[in-house]
Amino acid sequence: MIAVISECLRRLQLRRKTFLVLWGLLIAACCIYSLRLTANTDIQVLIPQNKDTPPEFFAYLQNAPFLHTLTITVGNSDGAASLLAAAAAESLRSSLIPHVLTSPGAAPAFDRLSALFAYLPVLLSVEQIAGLAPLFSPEIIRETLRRNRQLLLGPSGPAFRGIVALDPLGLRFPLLRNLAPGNLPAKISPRDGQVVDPSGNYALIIARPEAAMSDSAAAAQVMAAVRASLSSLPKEAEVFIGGSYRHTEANAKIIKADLRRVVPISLLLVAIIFFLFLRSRQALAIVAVPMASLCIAATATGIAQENISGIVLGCGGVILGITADYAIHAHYAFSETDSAQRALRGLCPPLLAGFCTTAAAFAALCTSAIPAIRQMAVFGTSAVTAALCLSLFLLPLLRRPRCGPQGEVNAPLLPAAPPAAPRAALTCALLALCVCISLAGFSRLRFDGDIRNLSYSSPEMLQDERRIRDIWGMSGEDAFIVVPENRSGEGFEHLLRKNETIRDILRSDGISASSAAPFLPSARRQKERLEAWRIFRQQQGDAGLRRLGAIAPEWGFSAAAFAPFAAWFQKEPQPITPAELEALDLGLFPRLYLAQTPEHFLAYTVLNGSSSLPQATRHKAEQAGGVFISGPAFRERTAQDVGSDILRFCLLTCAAVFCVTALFFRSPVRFCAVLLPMAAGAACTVALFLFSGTKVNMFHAVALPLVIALSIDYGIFTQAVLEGRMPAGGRKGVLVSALTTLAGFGSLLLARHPALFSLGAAVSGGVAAALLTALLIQPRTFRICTSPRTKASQG
Amino acid sequence: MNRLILAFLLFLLSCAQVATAAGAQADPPRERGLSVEDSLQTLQKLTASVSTLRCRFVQTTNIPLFTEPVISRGFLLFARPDSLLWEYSEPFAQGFALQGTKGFRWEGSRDSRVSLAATEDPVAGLVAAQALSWISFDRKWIEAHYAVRAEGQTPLLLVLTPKNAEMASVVSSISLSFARDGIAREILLREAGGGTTTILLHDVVLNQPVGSEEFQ
Repeated sequence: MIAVISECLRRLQLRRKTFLVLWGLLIAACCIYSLRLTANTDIQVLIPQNKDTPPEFFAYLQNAPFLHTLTITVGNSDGAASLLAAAAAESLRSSLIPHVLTSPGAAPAFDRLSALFAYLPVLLSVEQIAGLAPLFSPEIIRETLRRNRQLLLGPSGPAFRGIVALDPLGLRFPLLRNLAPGNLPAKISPRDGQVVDPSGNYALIIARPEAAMSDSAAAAQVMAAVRASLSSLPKEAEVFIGGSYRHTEANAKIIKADLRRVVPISLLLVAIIFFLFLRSRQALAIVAVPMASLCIAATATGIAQENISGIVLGCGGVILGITADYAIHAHYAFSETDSAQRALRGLCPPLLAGFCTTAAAFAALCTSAIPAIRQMAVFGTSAVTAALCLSLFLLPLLRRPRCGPQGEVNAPLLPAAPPAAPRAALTCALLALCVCISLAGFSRLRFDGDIRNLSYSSPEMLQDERRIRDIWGMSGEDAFIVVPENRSGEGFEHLLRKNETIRDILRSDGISASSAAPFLPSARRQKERLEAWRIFRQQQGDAGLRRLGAIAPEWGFSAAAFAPFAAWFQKEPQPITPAELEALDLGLFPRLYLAQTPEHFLAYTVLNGSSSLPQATRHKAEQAGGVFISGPAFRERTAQDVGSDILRFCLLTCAAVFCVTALFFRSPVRFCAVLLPMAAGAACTVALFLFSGTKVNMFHAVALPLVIALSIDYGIFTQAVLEGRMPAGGRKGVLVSALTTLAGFGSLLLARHPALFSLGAAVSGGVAAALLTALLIQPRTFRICTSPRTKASQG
Repeated sequence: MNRLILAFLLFLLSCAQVATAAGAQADPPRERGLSVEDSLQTLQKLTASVSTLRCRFVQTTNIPLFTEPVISRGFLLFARPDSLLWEYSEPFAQGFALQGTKGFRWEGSRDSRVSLAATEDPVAGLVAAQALSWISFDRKWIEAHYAVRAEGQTPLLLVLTPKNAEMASVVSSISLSFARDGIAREILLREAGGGTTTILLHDVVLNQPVGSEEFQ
């Protein structure tokens, strides 16, 4: 391998200018491509994809009732919140936010109720239709008319004229009970056409923008429109805004701001380190390696993945520190050796070993269930591969040759050095200690599967959400059953059938839920109901109407008072269609429960006040074509994914590390010595999690294998130097490379986005511990070993 | 629709207060030939001085649903800041009372009262809960929801036409007629579906002590 690399380098050096131009073109092309990449700020990449999570999970979540809306609470202390809400709703309606809803649909306006009444035969169940018969008895008619007269003469009378004329017998009441929304939080009540809290001080507005909630640019536009609209409210009005659009906007902003802050600071720190340790023009070439590596990695990721996440790019920025390592080691090797080929002899084994372990650590991330981590695997592997190639095949071309390309490959690398070997007992004891700490700590780690904790929330957002929950008594825990159906010809009908089956299952199991099923039955069920209605009408028929007409004068009603009812009753009833339902403009609820994606129609059934389902009910619902999605269950599952991810990453990384290290350092004691920094780094990272009480999230899961992969490099290079395989300057190379890595990850501590901060904190601690071990403890085992007393004892 | 009912109460109550207050101060706006703007301003100021109101009313409901006009009688009580009682004594005994956030409605005797939250009639709940919001003369709200015009100076007659289409589908106009002594004697509600409801206020007593037990 070394001979091949050496030969390649020799040939490159023979046509140095040509290959420099070619390298330049490649890097320039990658720079241009990567600059044109658009960072995706979508949280979809953070949602695990496993057997329990359907591929369309995010689409289901995105379209779920209340999740793809803005929840706006307006209020003031004078109890006139409904007026504020009306004004705010009017102001909010725009092309960006076409649906602004303030009415709960519980008490639809009477003109809408009258329109809805026309569809009564298809909106009542067969049993309810049969149950209407007693309303036509003389006693009930008499009592109902008395109540109607009383109602018409009371303060509410003017509002009831139309509906009493249309429905003197109160057929509407079972209909209203069917349609009443059951999932309103406890503190919500309909009043004055708005949703207000019991004090009357706060009113709720649900705004449903057109744009997808994960589209950061659109979310920014929506939020700007919302703020502009709400600014017209009186200054004393309180406004609390909650919802995913605000989170998307805030996260996009904070990620961009973090990138603007972290990347320059990381670069500045790296520049300072270079200035302090590498004061030569030759060293400037090192800078080119990480920069070019990142461009190549971004290009590779951009080509391999449809969308590259901003979070991955942010984390990728800190790979700058890792990629600089190879260039730094190469710089020291080439600087302190009089021929590039001889330098390669000493450099290649540890460099290749380091590359293999780091690449293996990144490659292990490919096995994650979380798309963002898989993206990071592609990005990281590409970056370190590019850095290796650039360090071996570009860096030597940029340096002024100290000797000809035909340097003596087989010449001794360094002057003869005293033989050295690690002290077995000490090395093994230290290693065992670190491994024990790591394993004991690992078993006690707690995992956090709540994606919300990876998302940035400003104090104002948290306060607003807390107030919204307090005012409306919302638990913040959602659970729903979604029915997806392909958008084929009969797809919507099948969707409605499944949706009402799920409603029937839940009702029979005594579980309270809300859905569009009562508003929009399937065509099959409507047909059954129309048949039942015809039978009912034949039974009651003209006799019922005559009875009503005869009793009406007893309570002062005119002969024509109930003509609208008679006309409706005798008219052939019609089924209700989605378009007709939409035209009724019933407010919040029917609209919230139905959605569509390019592939599917979706119908949602929201559980009222519960985030779980009995296993048997869930099974029946899933058999009926529903997908049960619960916030707590999802978080629990994600936490399990994070736990299994971190275990798998660590096992795979450790396996790769052990194989590579065993291959390069075949003595068991040397093997253990090389592993010391890695074990210290892992132990420190785990200890940091434990002592800080931090729950391990999916970004921490990336951090631990990275720490392992980085730390092993320090052990490998330190060992190579101690054994005389590399020049003494190699230890400085370890120091500088660790410092640049720390600069990269340490700068993430300035990030305000929790995901970036998490990664920075975890890796920085581990790398720092590994560096100290490599610089201070690992060499000490050698000094003791080579001391005169040891030699004497060995002699 | 809800606003219709609320508006109905608003004008009934606020005009009673305003007009009687105007009468008490012996400077009714109409006597000086004021514009609608001036009249509204003066009425708004006078309303602020009303702490309690007690009166009786006679309501005449003349709608196509009934063969002949129906006379209802009742009693109205208000105390600042948040107590209201609205009671019919004939032909049906019914009413509602609000005190703070608590509210009741009843049919027949007050002993049969039920919490407004428990009633199945959402409109009654809406009416009761919002009535207090409208009892003070909120001119900003009035002008936001009604076009106001004066149709006569002696007596002062204000005609309000709903701007809101939903309300206009039920009520075509509300006429408030103030007597020479400044008391609103008559409120006429013209309904969009035909028919009228007229309310005549009498025996108005302002700013006299009212016990809280009267609302319970």
